[in-house]
Amino acid sequence: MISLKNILTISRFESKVLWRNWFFRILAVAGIGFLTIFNIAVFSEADVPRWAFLSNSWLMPYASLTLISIPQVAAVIFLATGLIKKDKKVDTNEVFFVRPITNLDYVFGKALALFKLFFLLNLVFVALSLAFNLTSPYTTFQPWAYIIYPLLTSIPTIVFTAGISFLLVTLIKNQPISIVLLLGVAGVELIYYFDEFSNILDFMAFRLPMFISDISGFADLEFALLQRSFYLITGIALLFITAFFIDRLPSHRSARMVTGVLGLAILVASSFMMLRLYEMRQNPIELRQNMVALNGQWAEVPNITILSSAIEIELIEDEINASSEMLVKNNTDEVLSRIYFTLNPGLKVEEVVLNGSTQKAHKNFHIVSLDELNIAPNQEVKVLIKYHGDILQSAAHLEVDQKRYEAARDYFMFSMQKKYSFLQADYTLLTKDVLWYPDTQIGYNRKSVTKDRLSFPEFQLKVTTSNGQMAISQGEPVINGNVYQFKPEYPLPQISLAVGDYVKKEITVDSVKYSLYHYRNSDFFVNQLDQLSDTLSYLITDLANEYEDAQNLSYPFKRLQFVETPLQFATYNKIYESHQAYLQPETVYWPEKGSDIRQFDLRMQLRDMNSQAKRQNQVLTEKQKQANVFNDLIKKVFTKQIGADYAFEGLRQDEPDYSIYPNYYAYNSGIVSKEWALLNRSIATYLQNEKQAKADYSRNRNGISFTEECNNLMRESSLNEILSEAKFNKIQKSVSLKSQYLFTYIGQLIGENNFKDFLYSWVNQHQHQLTSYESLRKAIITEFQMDIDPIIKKVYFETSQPAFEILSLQKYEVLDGDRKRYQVLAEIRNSGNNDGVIEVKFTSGATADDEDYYRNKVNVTEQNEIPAQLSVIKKGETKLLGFVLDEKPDNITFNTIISRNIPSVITLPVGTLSKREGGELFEGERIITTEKAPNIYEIIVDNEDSAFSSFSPIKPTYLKAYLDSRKTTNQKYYGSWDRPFSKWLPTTGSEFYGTVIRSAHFTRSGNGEKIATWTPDIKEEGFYDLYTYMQGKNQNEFTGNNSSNKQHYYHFIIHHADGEDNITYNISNAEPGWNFLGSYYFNQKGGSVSLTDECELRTVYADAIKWVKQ
Amino acid sequence: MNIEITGLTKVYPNGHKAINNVNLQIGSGMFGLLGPNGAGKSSFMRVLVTVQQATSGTILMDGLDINEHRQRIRRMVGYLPQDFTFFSKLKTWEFLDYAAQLATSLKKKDRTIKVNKLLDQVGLLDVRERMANKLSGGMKRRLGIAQALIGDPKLLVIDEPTTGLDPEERIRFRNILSDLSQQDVTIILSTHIVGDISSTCHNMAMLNKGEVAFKGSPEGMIDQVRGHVWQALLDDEEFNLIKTKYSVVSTIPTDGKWEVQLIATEQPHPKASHANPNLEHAYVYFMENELGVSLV
Repeated sequence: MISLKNILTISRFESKVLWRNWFFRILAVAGIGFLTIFNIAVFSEADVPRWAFLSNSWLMPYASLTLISIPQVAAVIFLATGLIKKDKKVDTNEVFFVRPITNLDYVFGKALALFKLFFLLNLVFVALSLAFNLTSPYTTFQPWAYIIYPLLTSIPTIVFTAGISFLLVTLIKNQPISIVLLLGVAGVELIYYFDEFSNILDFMAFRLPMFISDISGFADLEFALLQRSFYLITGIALLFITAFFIDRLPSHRSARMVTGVLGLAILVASSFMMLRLYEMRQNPIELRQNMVALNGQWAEVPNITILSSAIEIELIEDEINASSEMLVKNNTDEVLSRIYFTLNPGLKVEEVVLNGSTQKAHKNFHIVSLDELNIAPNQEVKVLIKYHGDILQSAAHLEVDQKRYEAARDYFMFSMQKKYSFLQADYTLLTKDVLWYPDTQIGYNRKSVTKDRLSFPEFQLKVTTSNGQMAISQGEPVINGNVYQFKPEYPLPQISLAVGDYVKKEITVDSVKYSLYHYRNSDFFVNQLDQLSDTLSYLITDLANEYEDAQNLSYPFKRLQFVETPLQFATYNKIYESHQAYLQPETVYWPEKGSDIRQFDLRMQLRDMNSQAKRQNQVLTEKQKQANVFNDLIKKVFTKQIGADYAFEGLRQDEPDYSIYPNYYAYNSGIVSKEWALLNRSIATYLQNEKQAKADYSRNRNGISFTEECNNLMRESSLNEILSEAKFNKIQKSVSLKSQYLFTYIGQLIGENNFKDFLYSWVNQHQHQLTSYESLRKAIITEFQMDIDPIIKKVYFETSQPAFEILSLQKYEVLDGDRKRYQVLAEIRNSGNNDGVIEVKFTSGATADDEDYYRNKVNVTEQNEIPAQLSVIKKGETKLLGFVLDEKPDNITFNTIISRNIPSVITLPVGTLSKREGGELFEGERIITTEKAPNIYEIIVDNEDSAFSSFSPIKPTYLKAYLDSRKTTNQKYYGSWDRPFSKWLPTTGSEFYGTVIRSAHFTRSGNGEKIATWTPDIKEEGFYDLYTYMQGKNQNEFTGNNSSNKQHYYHFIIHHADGEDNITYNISNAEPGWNFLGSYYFNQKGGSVSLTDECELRTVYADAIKWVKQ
Repeated sequence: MNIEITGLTKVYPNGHKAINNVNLQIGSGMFGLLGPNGAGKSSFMRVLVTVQQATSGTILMDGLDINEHRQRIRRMVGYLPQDFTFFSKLKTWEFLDYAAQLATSLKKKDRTIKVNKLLDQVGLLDVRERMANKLSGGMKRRLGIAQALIGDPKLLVIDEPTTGLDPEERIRFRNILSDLSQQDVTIILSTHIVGDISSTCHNMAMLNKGEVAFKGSPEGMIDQVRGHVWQALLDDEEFNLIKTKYSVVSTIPTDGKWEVQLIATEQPHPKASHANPNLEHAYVYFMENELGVSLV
């Protein structure tokens, strides 16, 4: 029925024919050309390649094959359908059908021909990678990558695509329709099911996570292997079925039946694989649901508290054999007849011994419960739990919902499998999140989201490793052969364990031991920072001092260890915790070879450092440059004393955070409150003093900033509703805004500095332990005679918000004797319906020059910042805030924290200051009671007013109309990156006019068809001076355009009492704020000012017009 | 090879009955299959070479039922369809080599010898490196016959081999077939060109509307027309008159008159005399008189 000889013969000649096909040759050349360019651009030394591209030894062939996977599928579809289609035409190759070949020979021969060519082509792709890999001096080489990736990516893809193409064209008998259908299938997979269902449907392996870590290897080999095998085997089954259906050669009935049955049998086998895949995806989801439900059942059950825990753990391949000897105490007021522990559901409990006698224990998922006990209040009991097994890592981070849990973690174009723990023969990483040792805290559950108890037991850990692996945990290790014993000096909320082929580098500075644990081949930094060895301790001292000065807290541990972890190790942001699992007590888990973190790209950083020094005419020694690069790494990644250049707030919710701050607060202290579960996190947020990103582009994308989106949300929903319903990134932001608001509010009531000092000393006095909210509350009452409870309640429950109007802003340069000082007076009214806190900040110092703006900067200190001042403005109140400065301020920023204001952070240029000699300087705040009478001689029409209208006769393009029709959100404001072509749309920003909402309408410039009109209600006739509100010259164009002396114009049409005037107004000289347009006569009949969209610049803004009666 | 065909019928899915209850016995040597276009010749041959399946009836080849022993039959058969396109990107020798590999189990060296020998035999050795689809019409037919012969078939089925060939090519082609028929090979040749059969076949059948209208030797068929073929030298007026009454087989203008050959059961004109019949006459006679098909 099947003849290998025939198949080989057919494939030999058919591949010859295919090879001579120009379509294939063009595709092959295009593919090779594309990958050559890609390799040159990304991996070669033509420019300095990014370290993240070179650091992983598996990445090069994987990147090429992933990139080519989609076009390759399209090419296979075209060629495969053509290959079978050819025979539709009667007689075409009948001369061959009379040969003793079966349909199966024929189909397999043709398929093999196709495979041969594409496999060869992939070999060339891979060889290309190999050439770049071997010739580059900085890449790491992993020969297996060149064998494993083609087998896992291209081959199953090609076989499956060919199989389905053959079958479809055989059944439909029409090549074009088949191609359209097949491309449609690929398209649907890519668009609708992109990253869905754990990428089970990703037949082209474009997003199936197959990234291999140099530390821990494949994240989930079984899943990837099964998924790829499924497509390979299904492809083969489809070839059999094609042979069954193909009506070229009448075969003997039995032969046809056997072909069909074989095809079906293989298909059934592959279906089982699909079922298993589905199960592999579904099981963790179900486990998580069950665990969350179980947490709900146990959350309210009183339990003992662990005082100490001595854990012994032996690593045996991918399992652990462990025991935990605990001293527990009944801290409740009642006799406990039942106690329980949590332990990973993959671990089996062997034995539980309570005060020396064996107890029957019941384990349900992760809950180990002991019944029929009698533990009196305050009684202490010894509990020993022996357990073994493997760790189900899906038990971690139950708080994370399914969508977020399953969401892909992007790493360049790849999707990276997320792993929360590792337990394999060559590598182990265990954090508290996977419940690898018994604990008494019940985790997340839906009923009482706020139940998350904390405790600080005294830990001891004894680890038996194998193969000479090094174990890393909290405390100083005592090593005896392959047994590591750890005994942390202080009680800790949790411990973690990393075991692997680590190398340790260590330095002690100011009695803190700083150690760096890296994998054996991860010493890339040694060469790049070779000159720092003798200055390292000074650098560390400076960095530590800078950080502790900023935090006002001292480092509470004896060591700080930086441990390299596999790329796939992932964590999440949490609602009730301010830290991610990358931070453990005394420990930072930094990503393998620095992952894609720019600051770890030392070579690139040194290059940037060089050009930066050149630009600034600095002469730096190699050592200074390296020191700068080192400081930049620590300050941007670990201490956050230099903010990121930019951010898109709200865009990514689980951005890794390696800040060491949790070691100062969360792992050192904590305030436990049954009622205010968020309080501890709020205090952490309030005390944390780290630099924010210098620019947030969320407004440019969405029209309003992410903070304002959250403010809008908090006006509509209570915090509890937000906690249970909103998207996580909004929960996180809302919580941190509420925290900021709460404490600045309290701080304002009892004195900002006093309150902060009080909190700092509270933490410093209660190190390595928990304190209760009640004791903190009492202490605050004693110290400040104020009860914070009602304030917390008010802040957490209220939805009404303040709204701030900056009524006036006066700026003077005052000669105070021979001293030049600067007085800024701001009159601010709170017209909202709640009390508000406003933070006023000044910045001075030259702003970065234009050319420098987009460059990457290394270790450049932040713009000179004058400490912010806060003020509470109660509902309906108007306050005059006075600031006296010694340095000329350039910008003034009003941060309204939680308010109705858009933008919620208003930054205004101080501009020119009027000179004043002498006079009293006012610093501080006072309430203004006299309301100014409204000025009837001044009329302002803003784009927010109903007297503003816009007109556009232009139809949107079909694409735009289609995209707009698909938008589900009712967006009011649009970002500047959404520059409208056919309409005037509102956008927001500090630079626009407005009281509470500063906005303007904008449109893409055109030929004058689109018009915006301001129509004033003129009460008194007469001559009016007209002003237009401008952002400044060139209206937000790219700064680079400034240098040219080109003049740009807006076109206004003034309808006044005497008729109509067209004005060409030169905007290149405009100042930020009101700019004079001209004087015209207006009477009660009205009149108007219109602005057309005609302009040489790309965008036209219509903001506000002011009429001032002469 | 001995082929026994019994009750062979082929009905297409659209209901068209291409072959209707054909019973034939074909022995060694050349066998001609004559019939007008659409008579069912191609369907018959496609069934014979197992490319198509008959609706009913049996075909035994040397006693083997072709439905049951497809692979064995295919090993014995060489087939040259009426019209087929070559692989667009194979060279002449590669094309033949492809066929050789499927048809034989020869080693590469022997295969090359065989391919070259056949190319030489059909006069294509000089163009062996040329792409097969770049060959002229005649060359393509010759390459076609070469591929049909490559497996040393015991049965050679050739469908309309000389259509579109110039006379020189046609003669060359006939000669190749004649040479072959000297060997122990059954050659079934289908054509609507009578000359192809008369010059080569000893046995023949005539198909019409899927049914066998005649079977026997070409001579047998000619015998049936003997006495009914006439020739005469006629002027314009006589020629025009006679044209409407009788089947005129050939007309040759001679000295302002017409030398006419026609078929008639009785003397059509006083000037007419008996002429020697050939297969073409027989074919016309048969079609007109026996089957009632008007050819002229």
